[in-house]
Amino acid sequence: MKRAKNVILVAVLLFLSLLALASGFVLRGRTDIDVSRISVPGDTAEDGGGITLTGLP
Amino acid sequence: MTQRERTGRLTLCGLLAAIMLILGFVESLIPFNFGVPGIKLGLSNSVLIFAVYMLDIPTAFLLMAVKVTLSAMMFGAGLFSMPMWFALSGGVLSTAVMALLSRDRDLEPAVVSMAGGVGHNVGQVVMCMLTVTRVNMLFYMGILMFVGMLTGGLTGLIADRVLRHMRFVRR
Repeated sequence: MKRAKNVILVAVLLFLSLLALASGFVLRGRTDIDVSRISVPGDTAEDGGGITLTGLP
Repeated sequence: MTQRERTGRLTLCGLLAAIMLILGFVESLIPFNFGVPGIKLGLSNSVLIFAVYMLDIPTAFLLMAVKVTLSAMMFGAGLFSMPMWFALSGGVLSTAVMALLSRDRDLEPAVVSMAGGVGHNVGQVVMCMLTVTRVNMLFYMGILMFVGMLTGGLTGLIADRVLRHMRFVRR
């Protein structure tokens, strides 16, 4: 039971990641921002850093 | 809670906040380049998960807020800058997710940390999407969620090892 719960949670996280990736991939063609235009200036607070979009209108 | 216990708790919180700041700073000195910006190990998350399991939830939130604020002031773009708000939103979501999942004692700290890592990146990107009102950050969020799972699992393993040796610190 304990192991199953852990496996289920990891599977759910993996599924959500895939869902976001797939949704983003579908939507990407319709928009004008790509990942290369995102910059992270210096070290920012929490893990993952801060995201700043560059080149936006 | 006696005066002695309160002092001990305060000291521990101060130490944990300092460790989080130091880990965040040391991490910023390590040049990671995976082709996607914003990827970091998030070592300070291991301290946060320690706080979630060993202290209480409000303390964990407070530690996260202190870390984000001080880090933005000392090493980041400055107080109340956009990156600070992104980090704060990520931190709040991450801590909330970990606090919620840590109630289930069947879940391993490493798995809870994985969810926290994903939550952190989701919080940041959602804030970014709300700020710039674009939905196409979803692709970026998907990548970061994968990375968050990996780094969250790693920091969770570290926290798990520490927790095993620190059982004497009670809630």
